[in-house]
Amino acid sequence: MNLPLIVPPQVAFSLISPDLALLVTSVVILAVALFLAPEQGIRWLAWLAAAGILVAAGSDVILLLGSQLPATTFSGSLVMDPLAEVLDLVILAAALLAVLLAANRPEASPDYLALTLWSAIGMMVLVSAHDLIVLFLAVEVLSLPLYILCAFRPDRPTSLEAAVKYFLLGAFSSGFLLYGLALLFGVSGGTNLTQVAAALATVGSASLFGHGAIGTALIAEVGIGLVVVGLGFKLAAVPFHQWVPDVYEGAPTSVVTFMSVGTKVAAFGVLARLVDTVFVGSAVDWQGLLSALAVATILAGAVLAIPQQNFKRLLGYSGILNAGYLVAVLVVGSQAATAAGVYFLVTYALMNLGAFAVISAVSGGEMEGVMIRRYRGLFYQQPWTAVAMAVFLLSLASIPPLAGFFGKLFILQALISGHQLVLALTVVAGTAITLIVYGRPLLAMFSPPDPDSPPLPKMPMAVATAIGCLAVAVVAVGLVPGAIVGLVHGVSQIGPLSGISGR
Amino acid sequence: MLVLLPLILLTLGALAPLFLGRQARAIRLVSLVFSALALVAAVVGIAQAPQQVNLPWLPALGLSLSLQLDGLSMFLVALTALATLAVVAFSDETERPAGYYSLILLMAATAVGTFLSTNLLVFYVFWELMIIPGYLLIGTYGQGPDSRRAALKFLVYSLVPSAFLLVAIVTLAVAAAPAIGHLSFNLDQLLAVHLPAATQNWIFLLFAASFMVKVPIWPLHAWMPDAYGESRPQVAAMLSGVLSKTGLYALIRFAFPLLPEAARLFAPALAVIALISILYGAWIALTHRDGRMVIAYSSLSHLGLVFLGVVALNALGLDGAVLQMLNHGIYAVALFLLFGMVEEAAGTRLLAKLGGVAGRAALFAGFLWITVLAALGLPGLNGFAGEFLLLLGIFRTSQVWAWIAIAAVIFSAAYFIRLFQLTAQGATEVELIRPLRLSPIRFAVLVPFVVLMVYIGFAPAQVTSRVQPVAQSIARLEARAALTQPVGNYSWEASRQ
Amino acid sequence: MANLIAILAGVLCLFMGVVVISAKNPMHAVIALVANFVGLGVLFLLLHAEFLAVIEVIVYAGAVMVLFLFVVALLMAGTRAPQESRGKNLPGQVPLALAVTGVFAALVVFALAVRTVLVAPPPSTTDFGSITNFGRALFTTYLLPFELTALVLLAAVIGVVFLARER
Repeated sequence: MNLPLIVPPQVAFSLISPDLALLVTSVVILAVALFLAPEQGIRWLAWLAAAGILVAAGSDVILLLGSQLPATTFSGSLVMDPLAEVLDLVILAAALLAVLLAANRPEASPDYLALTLWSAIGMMVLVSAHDLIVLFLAVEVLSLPLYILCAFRPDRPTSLEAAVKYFLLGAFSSGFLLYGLALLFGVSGGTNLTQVAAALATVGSASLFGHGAIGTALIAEVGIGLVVVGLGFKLAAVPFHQWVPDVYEGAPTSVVTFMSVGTKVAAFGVLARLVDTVFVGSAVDWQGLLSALAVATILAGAVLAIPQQNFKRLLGYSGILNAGYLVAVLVVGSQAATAAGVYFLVTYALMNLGAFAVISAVSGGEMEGVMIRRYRGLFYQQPWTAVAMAVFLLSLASIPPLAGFFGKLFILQALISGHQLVLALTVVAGTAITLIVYGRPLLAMFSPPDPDSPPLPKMPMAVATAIGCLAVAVVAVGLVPGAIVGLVHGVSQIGPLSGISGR
Repeated sequence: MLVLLPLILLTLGALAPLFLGRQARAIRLVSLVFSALALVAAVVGIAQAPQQVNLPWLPALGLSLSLQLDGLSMFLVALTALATLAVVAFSDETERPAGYYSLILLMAATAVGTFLSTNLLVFYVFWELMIIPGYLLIGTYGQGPDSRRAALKFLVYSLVPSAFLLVAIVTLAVAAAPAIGHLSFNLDQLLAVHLPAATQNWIFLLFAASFMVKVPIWPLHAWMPDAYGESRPQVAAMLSGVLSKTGLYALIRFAFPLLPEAARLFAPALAVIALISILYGAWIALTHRDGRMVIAYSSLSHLGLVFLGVVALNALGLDGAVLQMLNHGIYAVALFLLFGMVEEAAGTRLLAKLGGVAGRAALFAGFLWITVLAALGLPGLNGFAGEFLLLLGIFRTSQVWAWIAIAAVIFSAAYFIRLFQLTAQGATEVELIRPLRLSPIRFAVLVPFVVLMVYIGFAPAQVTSRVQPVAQSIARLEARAALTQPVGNYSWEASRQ
Repeated sequence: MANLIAILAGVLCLFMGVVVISAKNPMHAVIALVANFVGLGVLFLLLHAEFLAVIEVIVYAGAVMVLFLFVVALLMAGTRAPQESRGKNLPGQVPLALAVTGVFAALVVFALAVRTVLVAPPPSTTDFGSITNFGRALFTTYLLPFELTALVLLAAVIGVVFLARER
């Protein structure tokens, strides 16, 4: 029998060079680790991982500055556009910090480094995904290593508890996501987002009593709803947020640092792409769902954060709150709004990574060290650490002129220009509540020190440098917001396929 | 660049303690030097005004660093620098000085920023930033047992309205954008746009609520007794002398000119609120047992009068308001600081336990006496000139308001005399736990205060003549609004795409 | 006829799925899972995906499950089923589960009732699921998912090794 030849698709390796760099680094780390005695070369390997991440970031920047973008590869299932590349950079920054924080900790091991890099690959693929199957697999690639990473302190019951909780709820959410994707596939008969967008643009209005293919419209709407639910778990939107505080509290700080930023970036990226290429052009009502999700997330995240005594739990709720802002801005459904979301996400990454880095440095890996009362008098023991932390917290509370303020401002501007009154007011209500939340640790840091508190652990040089750089970045981006506005304007041209949605 | 100088000097002064670690004397000296330099720069600024500076910041968002030194702002900038200098001089026994001086100077710098900015977003930046040093100073350098709760209250009362203020500012800019042609937050450009009344109204309410909290005006004053009572007297002096002026200033500079029709609509209601503030504050001040609370509630009453002058919406009232803001700053800072010394020396601030200070420290009592006289509006001292002008302006708009307000002036004499008698004179002799002595540096700082009280009392025109052009142009805006057609309609329900 | 088989296979899958999570003995759970996979294989067959059906039965129901059985048998040797694993339910677990199930069941019933659900034309050719077409799709259109699957498996293997080692 004369079998027809299978011609593999053209793969532009330069487009996926960041992912390849991480993949090669991870494999090299695992291979080299076989020849190293345990405990011996872990710092070496951490530096190797950091170098790999920097190479990936470098090729990312080259792509961003070059003229290749936007482009597709892997027969249209992967899109490389400014949105994806900018978010990739944020993901890589989070991965880099996680590796640096872990270098001196018990959780550091070759597996840890490799799993972190793989998860980062999953995130990077997810923000570029242009195919339902790729989307789902990317979610799995990013989640599976994270489940395991959460368990990386088996000496602590909370770490295992966090891992099991995260795994179970994550698997649950994967089910929702898969069901939703299957329904979308069923409606459109194809897995590429182009096909899905084309099909959804023609389904009838979603009225149960209308004419035409009412079932199709309903199925499409349910499919969109289930996809949003599945991604809502990853984004930590209310009411799919229950795992967040426990996982943030129990998992190693370096892992939480990574996942708090990385997962959010990836989930926002894919949701933004779905909104811009599929939802906006569709005849299905998607805004109500996202609005409700945003309002619930913002209010619940802000209010639940108030009584927290544990800094990591507090930042967990703050992450929920910020996820709410991101969902809110997507409701507007314009590319300018997406760009505002990306700007916000970049600033959020800077301040959130900084805050976690300080927590990691102050706690020194002890459970007690993450309580807010441990921060009493920090200003009089390590003044610069306290100042940096104050910068991060104030920026998280969107106090001007720090980076977070402009992120919030762009979101507000997008919402108000898009005539979303309720969402704009909800966003500022959330903001008003959060300064009360962040005010407590702030006050503690400048209060007189507790005489019987143990001395603070010595900070590793790399961590101190990272904290310093992030604090300077938060201030600088605030003082010169124009510096990354250009970046955002690039992002507002999403994908080569933005024409499909008819805009 | 002269405009920027006080701002830069105070900011540098705020950063300097971070580099000096635990060297308390050096920190204090540096703070003193920087605030003195800022004062010099501000005084030079008064001579050179009007001046302005425009630096592009974020053109994509219509954001430029626009600062302006004119009749409205120059005296308040100088007042801030003077108050800061006095507060620094009177805080020489502070524990953990690095944070303290840094926060005091940061508070001063942000207040100067709010006085100078003519771009709404730049203003908002300083306005919001100003809350943080206040919160930390009340919370971590407080005296009372409940200082943390007081700090939280201050934070909530300041933040919640100012978060909504941001929505109002952005909406204003978005609504005005079609008329201007691009998004702009610049006051000059926004003033040229006449928005429809419906849009103006709710923006105005958000503006007014946010600004009135800072003054404070009844019924938004609930944070005041806690914040003034639980913090150190020096911090209370800063809050009352400087921060309260930012609220009034913002009303005059932004809320009323930008939204003239809404201002006209709400003016009667605001006047009622102002009158309640005046009488309520006076009543509490008259009866309170705590000396510092008497001063605090007198501020509520006096600033209520200033607010009434603003609400009168005429050039005379605005002129008087600016003059009286300056005056109130001068005597309130002096009162809080001087009474603070009594508190520290006597270990109590209950008026029943004080008395007879005059016999122990004559020089000190002399300063207190002059300040009290200035505060109660004795002709020949600064308080009188301001109140007179204010009442004149209020009288032109409504005689009823003016007659009620005059009652408050009489009240004011009563409670300030009571305060002085129960502190300095009286039958009871207070047990001083430590001597009440003015150090040379404190003496040197107090002298300019007294000089100003007398000088402004005799020559108020030195101030009012400079304020007048600005006040008149604002009053003109109010009058003109009704004549032009509104543009740039903005409604929330407008359909998308 | 085909519809009847599909419904029967679906019911088998669902029932066995319930058994998998409710069986007290892990052995029973694994065997139920095998039955579940067989049901799935039938469904694939009905969709003209013969290759997938065969793979489903041979690889999953056959090889993987046998491996599972071995592991379970080895690990369980000499130990009794843990008693405390039948812990208390989460608050509101049962009503919540019933509600979610109800919603999805209603959806399925609705989908069956409305005949216009399927817009996408059913595969016109019977070689839709043939090895050739399957392989072609896998190595052209779906090359990236194929590669990603490898990464998922790699992560799973490393993770299992790590978790097993530390205990």
